[in-house]
Amino acid sequence: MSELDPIGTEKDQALWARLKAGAPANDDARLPAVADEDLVAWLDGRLGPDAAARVEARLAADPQLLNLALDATGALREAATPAPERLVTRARALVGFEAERAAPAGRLLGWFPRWRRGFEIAAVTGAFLVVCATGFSLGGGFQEAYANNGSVEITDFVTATLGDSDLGFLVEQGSQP
Amino acid sequence: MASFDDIDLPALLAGGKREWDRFVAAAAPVIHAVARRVVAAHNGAADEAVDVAQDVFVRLCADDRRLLRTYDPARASMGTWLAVVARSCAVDHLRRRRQTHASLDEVPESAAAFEDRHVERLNVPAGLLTERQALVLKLLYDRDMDVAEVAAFLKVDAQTVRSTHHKAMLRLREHFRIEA
Repeated sequence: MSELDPIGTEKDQALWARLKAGAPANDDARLPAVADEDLVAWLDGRLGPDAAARVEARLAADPQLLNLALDATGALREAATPAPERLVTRARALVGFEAERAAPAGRLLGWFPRWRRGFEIAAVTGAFLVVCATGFSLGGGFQEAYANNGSVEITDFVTATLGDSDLGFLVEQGSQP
Repeated sequence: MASFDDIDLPALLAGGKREWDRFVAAAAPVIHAVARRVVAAHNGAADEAVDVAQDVFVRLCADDRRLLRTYDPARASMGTWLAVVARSCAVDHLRRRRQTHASLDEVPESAAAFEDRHVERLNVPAGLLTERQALVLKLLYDRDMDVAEVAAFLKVDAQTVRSTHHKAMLRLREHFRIEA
């Protein structure tokens, strides 16, 4: 018992200790479990006398339930202390993304989420095709490439007029004049 | 400090971002206070409380806010409900973490005895004490609480606690004198 506000006597404490140490006098002392909802209502003082008595009987007999009740009321007293900002930031972020993703769509777009994956694939494929087509167009396209392919000769790459010595050199190297 | 009274519960359950932010502002101090207590009771590091509190928030909004939907405003205030729910979630979180990080042999017995709910039986004949009297004696003698703390917990005045204690002890003394 607390020294701050003494109550009872040493004899009272000794009697209580004796009662705790003894074998249970009532073997049929099984008490019904208390649901969290009932405990919360009791803590708020919203239970009627009979229901409150059941909760109090269980609290007197169940140390873990009593711990739960004491922790809850203690935390409510301590709740004046602000929570760390990083906790608030992280907790807020939990719903931001989800809320945006589940934002109510209009009637026309209500079916959109079901086809979302298909649209994503189609969009990526389309973008890929656009890039390919653009690059191909800049490169001249098939028609111009094939048009040039069959008529390439060595003279196309030689801008200077070939003299006899040049032709002789090429003949020696195995080229056709 | 943000208040639970400002929260529009249907909008919160519908996933409103603004309502969630308001809820977080009001709930974070309560949940963090619960987490601090639970972590301290299990000899955890102080900064572990933020992780524990964060896990409570995750559970509140998981599965389309299934846990949050169990709150019934007709039965209790949101703050009290949240404190009880957060405490259960926090204990579960620490239990899972301990099971992940250590084998049972490495955990001290006191820490391993998480929510082993058992009923203590007193050698008091049924009906001798009222439920309230038994609870008052339990809080005063077993939990070492003073009269003011007991009064605050039971939401009664200190004189009522003294009176309840006095009547309970009278009954016990009288009963055991007769039996002896």
